[in-house]
Amino acid sequence: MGAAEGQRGDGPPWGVLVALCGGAHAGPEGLDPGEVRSILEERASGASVTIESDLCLRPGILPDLAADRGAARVVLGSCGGGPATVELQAWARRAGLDPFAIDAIDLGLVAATGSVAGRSQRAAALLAAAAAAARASRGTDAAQLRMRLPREAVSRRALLTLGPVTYQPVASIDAVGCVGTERCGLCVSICPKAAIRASTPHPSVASEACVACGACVSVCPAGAIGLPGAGLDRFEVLMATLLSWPWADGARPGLLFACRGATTSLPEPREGEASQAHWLPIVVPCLSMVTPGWALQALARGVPAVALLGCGDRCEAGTEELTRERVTYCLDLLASLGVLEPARRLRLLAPRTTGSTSGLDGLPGEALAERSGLGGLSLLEPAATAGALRRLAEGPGRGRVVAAGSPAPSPASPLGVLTFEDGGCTLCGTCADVCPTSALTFRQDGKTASLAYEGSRCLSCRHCTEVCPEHVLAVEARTDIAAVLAGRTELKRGAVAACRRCGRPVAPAAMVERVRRSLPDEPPELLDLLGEVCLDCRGLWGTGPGTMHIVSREGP
Amino acid sequence: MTDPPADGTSPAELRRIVYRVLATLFLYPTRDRLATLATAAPELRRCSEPLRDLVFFPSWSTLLTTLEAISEADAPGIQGEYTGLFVASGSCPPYESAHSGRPGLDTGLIAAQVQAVYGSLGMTMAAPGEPPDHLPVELEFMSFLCAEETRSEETGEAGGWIDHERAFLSGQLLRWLPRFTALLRREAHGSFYRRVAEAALEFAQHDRMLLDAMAGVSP
Repeated sequence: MGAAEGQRGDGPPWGVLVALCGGAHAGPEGLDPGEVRSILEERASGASVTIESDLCLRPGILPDLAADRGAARVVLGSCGGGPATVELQAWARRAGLDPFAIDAIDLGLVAATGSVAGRSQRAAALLAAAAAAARASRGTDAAQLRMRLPREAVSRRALLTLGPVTYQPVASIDAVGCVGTERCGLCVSICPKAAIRASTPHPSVASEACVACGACVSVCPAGAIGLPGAGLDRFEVLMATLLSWPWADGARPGLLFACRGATTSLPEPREGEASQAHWLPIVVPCLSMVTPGWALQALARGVPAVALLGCGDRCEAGTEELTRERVTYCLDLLASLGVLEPARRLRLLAPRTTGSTSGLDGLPGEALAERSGLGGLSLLEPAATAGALRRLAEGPGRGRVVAAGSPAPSPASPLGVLTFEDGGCTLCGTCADVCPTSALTFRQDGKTASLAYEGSRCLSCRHCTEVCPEHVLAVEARTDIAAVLAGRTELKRGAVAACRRCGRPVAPAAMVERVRRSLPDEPPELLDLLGEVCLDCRGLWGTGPGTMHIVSREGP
Repeated sequence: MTDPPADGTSPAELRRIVYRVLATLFLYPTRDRLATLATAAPELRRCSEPLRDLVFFPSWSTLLTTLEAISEADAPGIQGEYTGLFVASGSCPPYESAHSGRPGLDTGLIAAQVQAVYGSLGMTMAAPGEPPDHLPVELEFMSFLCAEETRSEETGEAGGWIDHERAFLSGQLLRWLPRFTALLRREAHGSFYRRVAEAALEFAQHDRMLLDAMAGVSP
């Protein structure tokens, strides 16, 4: 959609224009646009920068400004009263750009208080992060959109005379990356609107029901679900840029994940309160997209505190309970890690109501972990939570965090704990076949077979328990910190019975023994052949109705 | 959106034209056919102006620009590209049965399914022996459905034709067009048919979206 040749999918990065509205909180009580531009020109590689007066009132010039600079993406630094998303989308489409090519960043929160230099620094960081995300974006396919006709639409014939249509993003599932409904299906269960159907081999999205909350995007362990303008890769780039920003000591801001529906109700600072200037907002479609790993990764990479602001009972997706469970889980986990006052590190804010406190008052003086480089920042669960745990418990800056136990079971835990009964396992490997994240792995090298488990990959989907023929597996939605830190451990190892004729593997010895036990009435010589002769070396023929002998090709 | 064209062209009529043009583009590119398309391109651009605000328009506009620029000297190259991609053992067979179902096993079944859809609406193949699941035939069928929708608008019975359009897009054309387009992007050495296929895919996908949105709208 508006893509130039060679810029679809994994093509070269888009050219990006950062356009700062000259009126966006400019002045001694706000930002210094010139300073913001200087910082961006130094730090936002690949982006050209411009300042235009009254840009928020003249968004129609944005496509022309972009075209002049060879840019296919625009980041607009606006003053909160800027153009609506619908209008920006219409201007983008009219210019032949992707409908989501113009990203408006409200600089209101960072321009509220603090020094002009600090505000300008924070504004530049937000714009640079958005520019980096725009450069890496993949473009939009028609299959990822749903058309909304204007409410006043009255006839099909009059369609072409109506106001601008709106295109809303719709989740889309990449059939190549998806591990399949039978092995996973997490997206089906997380969707608050039942918009994802458990079709086979892959789930399918009913576009008319999708509200683009993003919950499915962040729960998919394979990263196979996309959402225009709100893919996981966008938020990974945003966070990586903000977390790696060279803040001055003591000026490191907190991260505020704000639901798109809540951004008009950001808490206003109380009189004399300066700390609100130390929060950087990341706007998400819905808080249901923010999994525990997002908040924990930020805390594990040097952010002093994380806050979440949703739209409360106005939530179209109805996922406020899910968010509360996730926050409770994270607080429990932080407490288990020995973090003092975890509620100061992670805060769930209520939308602004009359008389409520802002909730953004004060930041802890120290982060839980050092800012130690952004390599490997991934928001894909359960790796995001497991990786953050590892950093908090073992990474640079350890000593402030000491693992003191494990949190209680929680449906919000991205990780699971496997219980295994060694005695009954026959090493059939079926559990490993269905595991969507390879938390369970089965190996057979001819002489031995082994089953191993890695707790940091288990997302408690329970597919293994459903397929285990011997019922030796149980999974609990709980985070066992020690299991996560232990890495891959072997659950069982056993010998593999070899064919007495050709030497090739027949089956694990435990499985052969299990089969023998389940066929007590069969002749011993038959049972011996089952365990001692491979399929290729066996011959099969019958000698009469209901009678069949399995013989070795060596002879009966 | 922009003001409607002076002749009051309906959305269905505009869609009929686009499907007709796309169908023609997937027929063998004789010199006459290419010359006709190049001549018609400016008029096509003018009459599709009301579609400017729709997200598929950039790829359609790119295609029109390509058609406007075609000269007689381009014909051999385009014909060579067509033959290499679509004819006989070409690398990108333009048939639904080549991209749906079990390769080599369901060819007849899929062709029969498509033929049955045509037959249910009183249509038969004009050229005997022409496979019913050939891409230009399926696109031409969509054009026919849009024409019927236009004719029915006066009597208020267009809703039924919109249902047929949605069913054919979902059940036939869009079942395989994405895969065909992905293959063509890989196999096409020139840009002409890549642009044609991308425009066809984006238009068809958008059309399904539009029809879904329109389903609840009165005539």
